[in-house]
Amino acid sequence: MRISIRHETRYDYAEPAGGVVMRLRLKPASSNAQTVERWSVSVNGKPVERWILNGYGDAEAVWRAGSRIEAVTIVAEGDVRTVDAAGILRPTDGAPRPALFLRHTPLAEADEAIGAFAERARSPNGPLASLHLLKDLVHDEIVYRAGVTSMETTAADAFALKAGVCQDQSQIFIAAARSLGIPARYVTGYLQDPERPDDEHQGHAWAEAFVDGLGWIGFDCTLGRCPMDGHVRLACGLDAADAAPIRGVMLLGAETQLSHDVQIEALPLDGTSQAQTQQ
Amino acid sequence: MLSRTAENLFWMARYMERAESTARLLTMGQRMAILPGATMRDEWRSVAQVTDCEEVFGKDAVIREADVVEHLILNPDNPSSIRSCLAMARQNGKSVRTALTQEMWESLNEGWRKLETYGVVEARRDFAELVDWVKNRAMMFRGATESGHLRNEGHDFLRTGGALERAQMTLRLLDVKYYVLLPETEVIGGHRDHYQWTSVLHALSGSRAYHHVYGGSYTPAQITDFIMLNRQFPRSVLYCFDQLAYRLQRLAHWHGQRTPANLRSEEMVETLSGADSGDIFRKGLHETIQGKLAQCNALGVEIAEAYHFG
Amino acid sequence: MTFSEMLGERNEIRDCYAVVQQWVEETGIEGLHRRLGEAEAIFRRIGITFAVYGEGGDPERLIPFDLLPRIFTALEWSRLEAGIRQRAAALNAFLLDIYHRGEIIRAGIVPADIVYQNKAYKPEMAGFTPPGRVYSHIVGIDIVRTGLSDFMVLEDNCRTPSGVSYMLENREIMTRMFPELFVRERVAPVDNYPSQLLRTLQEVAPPACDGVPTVVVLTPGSFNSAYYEHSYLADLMGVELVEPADLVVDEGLVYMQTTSGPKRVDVIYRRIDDDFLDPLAFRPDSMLGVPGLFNAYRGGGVTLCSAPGAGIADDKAVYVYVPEMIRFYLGETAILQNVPTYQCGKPDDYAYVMERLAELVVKEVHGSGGYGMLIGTQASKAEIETYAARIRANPAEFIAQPTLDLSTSPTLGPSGLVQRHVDFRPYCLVGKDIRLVPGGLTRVALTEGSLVVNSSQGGGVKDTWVLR
Repeated sequence: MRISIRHETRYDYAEPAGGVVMRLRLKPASSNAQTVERWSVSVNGKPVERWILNGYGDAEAVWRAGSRIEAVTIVAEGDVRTVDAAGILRPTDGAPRPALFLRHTPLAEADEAIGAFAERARSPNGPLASLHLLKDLVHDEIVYRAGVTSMETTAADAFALKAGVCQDQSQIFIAAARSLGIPARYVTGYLQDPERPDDEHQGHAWAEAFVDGLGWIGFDCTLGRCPMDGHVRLACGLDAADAAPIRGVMLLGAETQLSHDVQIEALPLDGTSQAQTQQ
Repeated sequence: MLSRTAENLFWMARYMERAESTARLLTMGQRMAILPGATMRDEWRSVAQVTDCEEVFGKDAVIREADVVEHLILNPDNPSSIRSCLAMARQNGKSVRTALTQEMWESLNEGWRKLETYGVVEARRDFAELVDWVKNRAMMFRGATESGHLRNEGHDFLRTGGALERAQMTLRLLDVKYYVLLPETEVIGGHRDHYQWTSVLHALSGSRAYHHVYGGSYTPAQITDFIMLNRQFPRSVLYCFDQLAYRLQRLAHWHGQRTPANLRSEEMVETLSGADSGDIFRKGLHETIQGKLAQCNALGVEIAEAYHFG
Repeated sequence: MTFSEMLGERNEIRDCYAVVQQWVEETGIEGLHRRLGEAEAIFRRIGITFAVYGEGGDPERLIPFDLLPRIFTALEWSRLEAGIRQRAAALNAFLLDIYHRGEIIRAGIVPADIVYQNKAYKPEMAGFTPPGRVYSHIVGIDIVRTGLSDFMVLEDNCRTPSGVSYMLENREIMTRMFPELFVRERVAPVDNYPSQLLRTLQEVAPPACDGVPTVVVLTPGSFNSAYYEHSYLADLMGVELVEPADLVVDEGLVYMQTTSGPKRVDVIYRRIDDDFLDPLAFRPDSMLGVPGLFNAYRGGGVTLCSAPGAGIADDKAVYVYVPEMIRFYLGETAILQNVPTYQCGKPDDYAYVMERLAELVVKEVHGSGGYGMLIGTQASKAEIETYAARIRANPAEFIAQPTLDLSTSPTLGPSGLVQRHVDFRPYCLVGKDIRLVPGGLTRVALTEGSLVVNSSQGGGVKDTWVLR
């Protein structure tokens, strides 16, 4: 599949804000599952060009406002060609050790209830089978419902509610996988899925778990399956806060209003060469 | 030089200067309060006015010596008490230890907790001694600066802060006492005004110097001339302005760039150096002083902007 | 029996202490007290007041200084030096390894969980190689002595060990007040430490730096308990002492705000904890910190000394494996021994420790500075019980060691010389080369019989002599 993405985030400050600095993780990397054909990130119209690879192997940049500003508009856009890799992400060199992703974090900590829930998924057929069971359990028992949770909701709280959005479902999956001793991490990205118009205008998130011999495998508990060619992977982290595509600080300022819009569409498959020759 | 270092040096000198000025004012207050015919209330109130903390005492209440001693010497919550000024000067100095000489630091550090141990009763008992001690601290600091501090841009920031604070203190002192210097009060005559003038000169450590310049007689015109316009008296307004212009010029030289502060300071010197006390009285002493104070404030803002203070 | 540094096997005064012994006799106890008063007045005047090792407490407090130096012979030092250098090299090799492929973990020598699940391990550092492959540029190694030739490492400090200003000031004051001593005895100088530190820092300049690197010392501010040391070191190196608010990151480079505009900074000797370095990389609620600093570091625009995440190497759970690290990375046998350590997370060790709490010293794995420590021999029954409950709740968070009979060193008491327990912290510099000045900080427990040398609990400091 070829997917075109335009992801716009806008911060409006009630009064001009000083010392605004932002960390951006808005640049997908090419892998066995996706090839980035064209991608650019700009802040207030100026392209962001200095990217480094962070500790998780994802691209990261820092943008700083030179003076006080009233608004910041961040636009990430481009085209990505995807293939269905059955959710398997081949490890790249220099990637952190999977054992790191057994670490507990406040947002993805398993309480007793999640621990018991995870045990229900434990399979005699090994971790891969357990993970698939777990994904199905989360998909079936944690209802997708917007508005009942927030960015700060922990896995345990969402589990108690038995409801939430993709962030909550993924974090419950991660907490449960870790309690089974399987490294798991949070992944941000985009989803092109004609059957889920709900997801339009929003980013998407899912989980990855590490299985010896296979590598990192994606599990999308919201869809109840592994990522296929509709998923574009952006970045990962220990939990949603750690993987956040944008993190910012401000030295001086008042209220901030945040708005964002994501536009995703499928492109015709033969358009590639044209785009490339134009470059 | 780090902007923060420059800012700290600037403020360190200001706080030391302020501590010393306050000590001098207190001496003046006490001196005047024991004069025949003086109502005690008025005298301490004028001290409170100069130090900009009259509101603490209330509009109508009688301000007693004990109140002033407590508030202006000991109160840690009053940012312009001597205790606060010394602590702030030390704090600023501590933040820029690397820009000070050992002796300068020692002069800031030694005995900085002394005032913590004083209550109002002890402070009144040892009043003269305490005030002298504060003046000595300030003189020690200046002496250490004079004899050992590198004459780099940091030194110029320090001296700029000192000169600015001193100009403002002299102006405020004049403003509070301007009515006794108005020509029309002269005819009322009597000893009190004579004492008032000498007290003002005393507060500025200028009574001897005044005699050297003008001989034995006191007239409002001469006193005003001396305090505002004398270019040799180091606490006069014009002397301080000269210093400011000089120091800012050196700073411009270090940075190879003039700033709005240069322009303003030179203008401040120019208008004042062309004037005599007659001009000042014609324009109004109070109005003149207010104008100069406003210029000082504006200059402070411009310096902060030019050198990126935080 | 407690080893006394001053006495030989037959209770004779050891040669290395002869000069001191003679000096004490000549000056007399009263004379020494008078001179001590003078020394303290000098310390107070110059404002050398702060707590060592981030122990908190009154930052304006003066740490007691003892006039009698602690002395190492040239021979003792050469062995110590070899052991310290070896350890500093191995600790850095370990850091390079665990932030890359983790060979020592794959080899089954160090368990994965004590590294990867340790809060001191910073995932942000994974896959990044700092300039010169150095993580810990100043390694402070706490060493205790239990016999004539028995030295043991109590713990390592790989982040930003403090206290080196005491080493320098103690020597400064001794040479100023008692020049005759240094005429009589050949004491190796330590005053080149600041220039060696500067060289070390310049050697690890980032790729983006061309020309002479600009080095700064980054302090949290003048309220920090070790602020005196920060300003002192900046002063002696002749570099700027900056606070986070003085720094700004722009396009991958770091600048300090000066009166003539922004100026490039290449190497930052930071005395701020990892968590407070950069709110965009570490603790987001940190009011301190320079946003974007870590990104600039990873991008090669600036060098941070020590590297974030270097603290994993001095974690007490990792400490146990240092001798094996030395074997693994250097192919050598550890010259300095570890103190036998029981890891309460291991069932056998746990059982052993719980039975012998009254004899052991128990420490929190991630604690430092003598806080949260149980000294069984000096604790009450109730204290032991309370502590036992904490261990039971979370065994893996604790280690235990036998109560060591630290050596004693002659110390000035009210009416004569007394024997007091001491430890030792040398400061090893790691850049392109490994450097070690002959000396360090000797801390002394001033209370009779006490084994706690921390300044917050009645500890003092001494000058440390290495004879030539």
